[in-house]
Amino acid sequence: MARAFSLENTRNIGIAAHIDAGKTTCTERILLYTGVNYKIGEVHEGAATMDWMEQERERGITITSAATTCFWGLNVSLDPIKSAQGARESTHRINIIDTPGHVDFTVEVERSMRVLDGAVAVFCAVAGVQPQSETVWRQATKYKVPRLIFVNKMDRTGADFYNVVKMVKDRLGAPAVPIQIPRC
Amino acid sequence: MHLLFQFKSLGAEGDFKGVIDLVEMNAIVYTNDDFGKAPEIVPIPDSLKELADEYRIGVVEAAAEQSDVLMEKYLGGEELTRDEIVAALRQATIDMKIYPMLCGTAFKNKGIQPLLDSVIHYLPSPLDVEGIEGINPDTDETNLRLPSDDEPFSALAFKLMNDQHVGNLTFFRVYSGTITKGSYVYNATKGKKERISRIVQMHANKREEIDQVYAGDIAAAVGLSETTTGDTICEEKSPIILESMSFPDPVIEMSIEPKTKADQDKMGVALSRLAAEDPTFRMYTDVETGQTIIRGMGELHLEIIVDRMRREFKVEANQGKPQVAYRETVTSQAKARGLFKKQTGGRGKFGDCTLIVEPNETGAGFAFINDTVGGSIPREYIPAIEKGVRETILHGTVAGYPVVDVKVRVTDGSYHDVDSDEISFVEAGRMAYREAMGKANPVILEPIMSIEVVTPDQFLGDVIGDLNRRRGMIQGQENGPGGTIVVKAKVPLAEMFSYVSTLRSMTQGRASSTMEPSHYEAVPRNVADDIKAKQGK
Repeated sequence: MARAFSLENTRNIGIAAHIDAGKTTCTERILLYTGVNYKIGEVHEGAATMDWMEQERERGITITSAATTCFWGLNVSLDPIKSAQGARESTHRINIIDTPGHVDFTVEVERSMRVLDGAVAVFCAVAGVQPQSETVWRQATKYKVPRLIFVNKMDRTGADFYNVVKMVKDRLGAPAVPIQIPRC
Repeated sequence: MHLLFQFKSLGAEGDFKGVIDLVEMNAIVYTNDDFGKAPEIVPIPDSLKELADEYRIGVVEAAAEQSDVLMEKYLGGEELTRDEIVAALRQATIDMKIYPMLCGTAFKNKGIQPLLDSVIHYLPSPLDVEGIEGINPDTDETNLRLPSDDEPFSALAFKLMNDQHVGNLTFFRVYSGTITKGSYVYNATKGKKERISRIVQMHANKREEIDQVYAGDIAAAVGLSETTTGDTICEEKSPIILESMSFPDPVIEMSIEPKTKADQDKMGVALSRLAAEDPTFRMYTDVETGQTIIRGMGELHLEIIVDRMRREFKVEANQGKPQVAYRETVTSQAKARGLFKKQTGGRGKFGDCTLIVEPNETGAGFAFINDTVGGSIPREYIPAIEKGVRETILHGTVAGYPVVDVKVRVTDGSYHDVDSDEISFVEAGRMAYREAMGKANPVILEPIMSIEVVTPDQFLGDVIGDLNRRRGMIQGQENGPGGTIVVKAKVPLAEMFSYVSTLRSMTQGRASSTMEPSHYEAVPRNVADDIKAKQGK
């Protein structure tokens, strides 16, 4: 059996975050959108709300796995029904590796950082860079893990993307480059 | 500056609708009521054009800085193409020269698809890592494995987990080669051959049984009973040991007691399962008190263990107060004789041995050497002496803590044709060891933590003064981000309980600290006396 996805189209990533930054919700949504094909089938059977709940619950279990695999691509699905649902042609395999934040779980952080190739650092748009997010950031730096920064909770009162950009530069001393700005 | 201020106030009042993509220069907005599944791509609204142009400069400059060719083009006033920008940002991200920043709200289903697109665009694939080095256990030579299916199979086990449906899962990352289910792998770390009966991949909504995994993949194996976290599994004819993870020794311990008889039976099983999953969690039974002691990396760590025991294994237990995990060792050489002799009516008891106890290298653990000559002790009794010593070192002579890094040599002894037996020599070994250790200047060792405190300048004096009071040794200080000072110090763990809350109140919550175990060190005499008094010695 040949491999379905080339090595070039594989990503092994972690989602690292301070405890209240919304790591779990981010991971859940990633799994929702990447599992969109599966979801469609359920919608056809006509109980969308229930499916949502059920998947949510099931996801709650799989999120705690050490590694979860999902598929994504840059091009919209060729199937018109699926593409209307935002589905993509699955060209890339993304393995998401669980990375807890707290220092007591050094072992979890150690082993995750050791095997992942890149990470998404999630920060809260209101609180910005918190002490514990500094810890996680430094650990990722120690293991030389390239990162994207996702400023989450932009819907909250007091959310300030530009302030978080400044905090990342000042507190973490990291050369952050915003490749998006919020559309309000 | 004025512009920025204007925008910020706009952002606080207005709804967050989506993001403006500064690479593509368009807006991604979420207007449909579909859990954000199908966002629309629209032009950047006029009100945000100026701001987008301003921030676009940062993106283009970051890209231009990655190569002379692009920089020349940029300085020459030419536009960089979209593909040039993406490729340059990708390389810069992989080299950790830049960190691309995005925004959204997962809870309100906005901004996730562009994040996934960026994962593909900018984060490295396994091919971007230039292979992994490992040691060939047969030759001790360093070998390089490239991320390719054509290389011999090598993978690192990074987590063990118990799954209620499939049983014990071993998560592994394949660095080179491929492996099919049902085949044998060689655990090079342990020198054992094992069979992978099934390979499982976890998805959002299902578990998938797969036949084969390839270089760069992450999956879970069923059937590996000997493999633990950090072990390398590989092809037997091309053995390799990849750099393992370093796991610190536990520094905190706590006694736990099952609430009922039924709990007692289940507790042992639960604890050994949890210990198999987590290399920084250990447990043992205190032979003097019969209590079960669990050891881990911190108060929270042990709390979670007890909680998991209750939730996953339905074991109720009372827990003691967390204590520092002390150890003992010796600092000089000493010799002692253990003579165990009992004359009763019938057959008596006779065991006699002389032991030399001396320090072993730090981290080398316990070593037992038979140095007897001329059969002064029959060979079959040597293991009995070792058994006696091994039982005794669980509780050192200073305050009853486990003894580490000692070398014990049997140099002489005698026996009796009728009265000598195994039990007599176990007892003789015990007696000789206790006496020799007492004479070999034994000390109590305590865990020392490396701590980094990041504090605003004005609290520096308070932070350092406080660390000094905690028997801390300041190692140095340097300028941190945003005008802060980073203080580095070594401090005994025993002095660090509830440090975080003290630091918070001392600095109005503006300082932060990270702490990790550094090494073990002999405690000062006055502290040793306190510990002994507490232990009732």
